[in-house]
Amino acid sequence: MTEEIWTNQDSDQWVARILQRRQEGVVLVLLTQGPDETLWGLGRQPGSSEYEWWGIAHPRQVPRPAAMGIGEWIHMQEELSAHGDTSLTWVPSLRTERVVRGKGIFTYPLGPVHADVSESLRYDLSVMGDEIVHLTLRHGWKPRHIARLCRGKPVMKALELVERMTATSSFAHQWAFMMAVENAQGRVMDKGVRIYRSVALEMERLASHLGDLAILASSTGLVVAQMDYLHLKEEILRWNNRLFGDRYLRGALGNNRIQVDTRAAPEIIQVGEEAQRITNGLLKTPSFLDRLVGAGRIPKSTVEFVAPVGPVGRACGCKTDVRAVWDYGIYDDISFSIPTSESGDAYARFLVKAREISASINIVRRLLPVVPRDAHPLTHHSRKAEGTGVGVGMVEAARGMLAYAVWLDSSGEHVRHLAVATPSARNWHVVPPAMANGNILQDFPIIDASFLLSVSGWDQ
Amino acid sequence: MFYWRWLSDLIQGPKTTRFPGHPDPDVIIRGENHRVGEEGRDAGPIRRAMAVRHLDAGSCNGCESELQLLSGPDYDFSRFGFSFTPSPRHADIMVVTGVVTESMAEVMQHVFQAMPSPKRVVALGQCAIDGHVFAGAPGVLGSVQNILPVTVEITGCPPTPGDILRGLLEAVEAYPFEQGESANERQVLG
Ligand code: SF4
Repeated sequence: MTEEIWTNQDSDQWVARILQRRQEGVVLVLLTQGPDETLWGLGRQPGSSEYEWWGIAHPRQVPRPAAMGIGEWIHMQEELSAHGDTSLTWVPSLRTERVVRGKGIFTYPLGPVHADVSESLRYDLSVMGDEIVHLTLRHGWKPRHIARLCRGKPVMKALELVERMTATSSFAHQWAFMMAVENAQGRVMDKGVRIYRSVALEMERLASHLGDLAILASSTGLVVAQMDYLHLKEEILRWNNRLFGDRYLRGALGNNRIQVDTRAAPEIIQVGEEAQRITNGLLKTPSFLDRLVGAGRIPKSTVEFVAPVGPVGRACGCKTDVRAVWDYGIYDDISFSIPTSESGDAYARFLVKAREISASINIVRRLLPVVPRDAHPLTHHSRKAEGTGVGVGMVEAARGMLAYAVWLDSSGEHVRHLAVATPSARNWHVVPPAMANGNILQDFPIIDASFLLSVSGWDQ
Repeated sequence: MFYWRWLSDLIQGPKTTRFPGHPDPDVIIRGENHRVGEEGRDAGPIRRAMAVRHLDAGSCNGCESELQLLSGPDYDFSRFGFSFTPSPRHADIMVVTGVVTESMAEVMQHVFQAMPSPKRVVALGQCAIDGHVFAGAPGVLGSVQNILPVTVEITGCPPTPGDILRGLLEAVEAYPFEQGESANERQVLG
């Protein structure tokens, strides 16, 4: 961990330094106000095991990184200006929102309650005739203040809270949080534990992606494909329950124990084959492809500004996949494919997710037979090193890079402070520009379904 | 394509479970459902076509994920007459998921008022029942029951689709099966 701390007078230098590191290829992970009021930016060079901390002590006036073209932290800036301490005031953003007014503009207020089963989010969709000219997203209907609730709690209690941030990425949250805690305590997990966690994470990705594709198929009116995908998602959830004891892998990290079932591997492989068959069917269906190709293309400037992560990012040329750039699981020992595309439209997002399903099936197929079978209490399988009380954990969740920073108290067992950067909170900022990019009103549900970010990960 | 599916269904049997009419080892039921209120019952039972309106009052999307699976082939709740409706005006049952946040409490009341009688409210998941691990967080009210008359509470985090199916049937008084129910109806439920 390298640390640089600026004083309040150097606030411009602080942002300039971060911008420079960003241009050099450092991935910006999170921005948070630490327990000691220092404002920390956190980044990491691909391939390195070191985190870079850029701190600014007792900030009074800090230039918004977004005003300098750093969009990765835009949601965290909002958070800080809304709930931050009084000592923290922001210079107003130079990037004011584009406002559309005039005769002939009609604004549809959609939400926060929607037609089907979905999370609460308000879309204000402005159209001119059929063309979507602007979209404003209003979130914040359901904040649960999880990071704040975790403060002062024992680690295991905090784990119960973070695994309930987003259910479809429940295990990813458990792992990223625990990785941060282990990092802070100076513990290193052995290989068996890492294999176990990697299998669970890939199973979670499978269920999440299959559910996403089902909703995408239904948005284009293809009910047969939707039902087929839903069935496969249910199959994976049932396997999660048999192998790990919970359909959404709640508590799976603490259990650290897999049920032996010889039918698991062949049946999960079969799910992969079935998914491939449905995807192939869709790829031969012109009514599906016509609606997806070219729809909801993310503008280049937005891609550069926000640097989206996960499948959304990989579908528009941002190749960050935590599994490949940092070694945290067992991913370095096995080769697996990372599908990417440059085009950034709904079709690219569909393709990337569909191929990731096959890639995850492959990982599960190889790792499942080598997961240690015996009871596996976590404490016996770690090496103790010197802990610093501050730790960072990062995994590739189904929707992209998920990062936690944890400050422990002096006992090393209680959480003093917690910060989290979810992939959805970052990626939601590419949705409005992608929507208002030459699409018509009828494309709206399809583009929306091609992203399928989580609102609970944004509102937290 | 469709004939082929029809044939393969005949050979392999359909994917859809026969739960809750018949037990199914693949359908997990864990939670206990509680029938809470009697409100709305005097306005008459709801039968045949039951339109469900879902409202997220602060969930983690786990309850939604399970609720969504009810329309899938494995649980297929339309065999009992349930469907999701895009409009509160057509809704018979409001299903609320998640801790109730202050901003969603108001929205929830609007939706409830827009629904015609007879109507039911179902609190889905531990969060909607008592706030679960988030009880006491700032801005979290934590219980649907304080705001709307709840008919059935479905426990679990998240409740499994089996639990939800049973809970919804309970909300419209179709479960547990009562004495004197016609054989025909029983068969439909099975
Ligand atoms: S009950 Fe559980 S699954 Fe449902 S919203 Fe609450 S935390 Fe999520």
